[in-house]
Amino acid sequence: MPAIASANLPADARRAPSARRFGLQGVVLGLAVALLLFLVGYPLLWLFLGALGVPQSFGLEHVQRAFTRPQNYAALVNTLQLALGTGIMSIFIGVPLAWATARTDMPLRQVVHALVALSYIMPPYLTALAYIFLLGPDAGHFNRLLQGAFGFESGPLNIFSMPGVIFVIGIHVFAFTYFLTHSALKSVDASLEESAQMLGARRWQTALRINLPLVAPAVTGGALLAAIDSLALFGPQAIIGTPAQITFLPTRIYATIGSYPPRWAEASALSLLLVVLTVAGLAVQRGYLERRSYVTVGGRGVRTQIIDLGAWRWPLLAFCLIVVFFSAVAPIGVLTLNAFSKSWTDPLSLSNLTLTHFNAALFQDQVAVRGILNSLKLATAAATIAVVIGAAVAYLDLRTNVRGRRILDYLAILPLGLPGTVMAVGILLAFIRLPIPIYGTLWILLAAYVARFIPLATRSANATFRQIDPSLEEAGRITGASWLHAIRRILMPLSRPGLLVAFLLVFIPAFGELSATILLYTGGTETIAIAIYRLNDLGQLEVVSALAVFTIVVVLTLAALVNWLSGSSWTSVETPAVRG
Amino acid sequence: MAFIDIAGIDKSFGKFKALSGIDLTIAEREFMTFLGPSGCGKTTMLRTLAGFLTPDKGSIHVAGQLLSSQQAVVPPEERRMGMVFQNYAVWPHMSVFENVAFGLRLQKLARAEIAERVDRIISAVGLEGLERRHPGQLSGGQQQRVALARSLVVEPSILLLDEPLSNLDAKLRERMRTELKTLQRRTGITFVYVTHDQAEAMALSDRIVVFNQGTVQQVGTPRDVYERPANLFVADFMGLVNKVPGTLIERSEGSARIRIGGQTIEAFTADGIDTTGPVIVAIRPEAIRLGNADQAAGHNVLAGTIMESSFLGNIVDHQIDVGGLLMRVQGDRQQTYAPGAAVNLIVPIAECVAMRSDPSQQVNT
Amino acid sequence: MWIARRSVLKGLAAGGTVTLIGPGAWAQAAGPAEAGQIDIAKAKAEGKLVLYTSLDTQIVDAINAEFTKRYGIEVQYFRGGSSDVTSKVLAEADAGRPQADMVDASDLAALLLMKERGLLKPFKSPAMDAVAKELRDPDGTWITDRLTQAVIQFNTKEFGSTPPSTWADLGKAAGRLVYFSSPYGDGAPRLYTLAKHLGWDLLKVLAATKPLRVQTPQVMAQVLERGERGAGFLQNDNIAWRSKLQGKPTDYVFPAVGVPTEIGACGLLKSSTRPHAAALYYEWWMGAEGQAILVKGGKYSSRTDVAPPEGSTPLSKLKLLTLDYAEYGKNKVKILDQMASTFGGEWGN
Repeated sequence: MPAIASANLPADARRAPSARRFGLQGVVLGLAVALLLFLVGYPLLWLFLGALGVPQSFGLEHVQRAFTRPQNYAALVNTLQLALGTGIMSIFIGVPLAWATARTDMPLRQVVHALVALSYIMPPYLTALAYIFLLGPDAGHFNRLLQGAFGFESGPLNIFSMPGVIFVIGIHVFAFTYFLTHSALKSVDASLEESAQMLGARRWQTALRINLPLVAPAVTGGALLAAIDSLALFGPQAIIGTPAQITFLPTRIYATIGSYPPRWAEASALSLLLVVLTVAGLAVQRGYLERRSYVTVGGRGVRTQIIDLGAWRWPLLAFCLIVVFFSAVAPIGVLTLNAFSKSWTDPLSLSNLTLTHFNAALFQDQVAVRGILNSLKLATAAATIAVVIGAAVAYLDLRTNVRGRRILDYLAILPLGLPGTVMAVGILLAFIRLPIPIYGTLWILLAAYVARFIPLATRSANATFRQIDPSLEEAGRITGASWLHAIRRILMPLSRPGLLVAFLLVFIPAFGELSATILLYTGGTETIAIAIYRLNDLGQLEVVSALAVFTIVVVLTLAALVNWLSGSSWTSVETPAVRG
Repeated sequence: MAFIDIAGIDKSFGKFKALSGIDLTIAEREFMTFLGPSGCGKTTMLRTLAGFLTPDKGSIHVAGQLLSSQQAVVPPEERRMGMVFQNYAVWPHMSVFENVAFGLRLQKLARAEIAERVDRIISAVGLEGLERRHPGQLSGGQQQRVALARSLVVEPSILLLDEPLSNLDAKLRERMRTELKTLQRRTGITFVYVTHDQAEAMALSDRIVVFNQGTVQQVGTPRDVYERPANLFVADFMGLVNKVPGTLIERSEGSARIRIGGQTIEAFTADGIDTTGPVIVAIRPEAIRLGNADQAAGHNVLAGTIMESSFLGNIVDHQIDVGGLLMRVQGDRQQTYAPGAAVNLIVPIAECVAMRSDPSQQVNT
Repeated sequence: MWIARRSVLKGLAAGGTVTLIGPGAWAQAAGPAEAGQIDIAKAKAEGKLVLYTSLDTQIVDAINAEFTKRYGIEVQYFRGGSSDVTSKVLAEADAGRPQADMVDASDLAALLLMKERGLLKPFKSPAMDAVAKELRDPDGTWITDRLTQAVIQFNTKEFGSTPPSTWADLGKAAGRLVYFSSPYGDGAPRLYTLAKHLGWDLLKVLAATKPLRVQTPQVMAQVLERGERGAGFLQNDNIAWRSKLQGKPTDYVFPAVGVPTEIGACGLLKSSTRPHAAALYYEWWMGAEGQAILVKGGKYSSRTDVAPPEGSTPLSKLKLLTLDYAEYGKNKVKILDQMASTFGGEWGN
């Protein structure tokens, strides 16, 4: 009986022969594959065609025009400045914090670590909003404090500036550098340092010649990912940059489509430019840096030396606490404060507290209520579909021998590298002409969310299935179970926790998604992010804060759930997750 | 004065007492091995010697200079010892040359001298031609040599080795073992070696320290430790041994008469055992000869019945029932017996070591 | 694979059809062509209507509340800047998925463009008698519903003693000015009007003070109320009026040298699936009662038989600077480029 002997066969030979058995398995898998191609491949194709002027015309003049106009050029320069600024900022903040929590005996290490994760989970446009309240010129709380303390006439700090945009985005994306550096530091076995010590190296010499080169690839990799992520964050760029008259590529794309008549070719060309920047950055990070990484991911039995800081631990702790205060505590705090205040510009007092804004946000304001319901619906549906497709792709990859499954895998991961704005443009171009009318409905948003977040579900499903030995299903098949039965009774129950995590990993970003939604929504299909964005435009800042607090509570609760389910903390960040 | 003087070392990690009252001396140019099962404290002792751990009590002197005490510890970078780690710890971001040259560069020697010494040591360990390679491109054995070269090139007077061969496969391990021994003889460096492999310890060492549960069980030459184990633990750890329970009848200086089952033998005894009471006689399987009953002086003879014999190629392994006790005998490969045959077990008195039957001394087999 | 793809399309088609088959999906009936043909029963049966508007939400809510109270028909509206409204209507028309029944924009050029694209439905309303000929489409596809004047609003604590009386005065308030425009250039028409009539140098003077730019007139008023800035140019008169009425420390002035006026207009969409409800609402919106609610919100009505907002100067007493919408529409990109080079920032060009 070949099955019994299968235990000794190489893994390849144990996979189900797929070519012949086409029945139910083929249909399910094929359906998933088709959806994937439809939702990801097809819009990307249209992006290229759109840039070439299709269908109105065909040629490179649009691309040319797009790149020579001064507005677009200025947007490009600003975007590159932003990437550079956030990348550098992420190193200055992320590396010391990572070193403090990974290698020293500084107190409150766990707290700092958790707060860095918190600053990353919080939707970046909410951080941007919070900083309008904190560092808005003249009226911002921090400015008021400084005025009071130092007697300035007007607020010394103005968030509506390029440094302001870099700051607000930087305190969000520095998490990449932090987590990658933290992992790298934790995987440098102590013996590598001890052997240097035995040869006569002092502490600083070991740090310089051994530790630094070993973690440098992780540090630069993290900074690169931070920079790449900052390119795509439409929310903060619009909320802080636009009032400051600073344009970025995503906001330019938004403007070219939002004005009438919409300039598709220019939008596509700009989108492609954004894609090129993103992909180039990712290629450098994966191809060059990751290959030079000496980090043994999950290295077994790695022992790290904890450095005794003595009195130095207090200044270091102060620095760490200041960083997480600005990146997580202050934004959430001020939003909560505003949500409960009658008027955010009035001073803090008990008489100023009210629940009316929550009432308005959750029950009364048409747009807000619609937004909440739509977000819940969309996030649930998107997460479900993404998990199904992701599981199918992962199954194909790990349990079958279907040719071309590697390509499918790449296709499923590809959207991770695409900014939400770009995906939205592609989807608009692709689906606006379909005989099926999905523009202007929730369906087009659903398509965008699924396309954007499939990589998260695929990676998670892949990791889950990988941990389940194929022999468990094989044992079921031998005793007579059909393919579907084996899946249902063996694979599914075992992978349930992992797939639940995959579901949540898609739900959370889908719930607060902004940069793709802003291009695809219309009256009636607003989401919670749109409601926040629109109400902010109308100056209803207290209601905005209430909505923001609601969003944060939902996101945090679900993130805690993920943490608990997966039994590990959010330290394994390898590629840019999708935000904004 | 001893070269390395370890006196009264205690070390605890929280509630766990890793070392209790360690007293050792190591001479110059000696190959000393710390031997014992995992968790026995041998690595802790080595790392305390290296300066990575501060003792809770006791002191360590090297060449008369105090290096470790509970008040102060000279840090590892100032001890001028060498160390080879179990996982080699070669730096992955540096080439072989750079790895080996590291210590010399720290001493700020001239480039030409560094190059010359590094090249010399690289040929000495057999890595010529691999100077530009990175550790990721080397095999385990090659990385091991890099680690060795790196430690030796700075010419330390003491080299600490923490189970350096345990990650290599058997054949390579044996080859490296011989090379290490030759190297030590040639350079005259004091080697302090840690291993859990008793064969390795015996092959390499001038003297062996057997550790168990944080205490020194025995210090001696390989022969001492093998033939004259101080207690049951050492006897069991050093190799196959028959642990024959019996009762002490009579005791005189250096020897004793023991009743085993229905028979009586004479045994060598080193430690003080009670006049009455249970004892264990340790007899190595290969020391027992099977044959006729003609007694030669200085030998014990026991009568037994063959239970099972297995031909193992170079020897025959017998399980023999001796008055209800099961004893194991390893004999010549030409001597075969059928099960049930009656035989005589002849063993020199010097090969029978009587020791206290202390349950705490036993190794869980 | 072939099988799978077909099933995929089927799945999507099924999903799309569900949303497509709503009440009256096929019934793109002509509906009433004039007020007399409105069937209130049919309107009530249609149940709701969708409005795209750029009018201030407080006013829209007030108009809707009364309408729903009277007829029991729900009004679902999308509020965005004039460009937002227009681009959504045009994009939906392009995609064959029109959603709105009636559209209202604060900038006539938007309606003109929609008429050009054949999206508006001709409708004969009695309101046409109360509105000047220049302010309505002879074919009845659009009609002006309000006139918005762009005033100077200022914070009384800062400028109370020496209020600015004309545009040029603002040039002296370096660093203390604010104005609004959405990223799509919704604030451009009135700036262009000012430039056209009073010269581009005026704009350059204003730009030199480094004014703060905000997205909407509502935020502009808040900025002035807080005292974050001292004065704003080209604010919506109704917003300034409301702010003063609510007792905030602001006031406003119509400069005698000239005040840009913006014509807001509305129209019914041909593709509407709820023609009776839409027409009924249109009549309400343009009727004397609906316009009165508009005026109560501080807007100037286009109807000659409706009084100006309480305490406001009647239009006849003001020097109104008008915009040639056709010309603006034709040269829009060039004009926006000029705005971008004068003021910097995003103008949607």
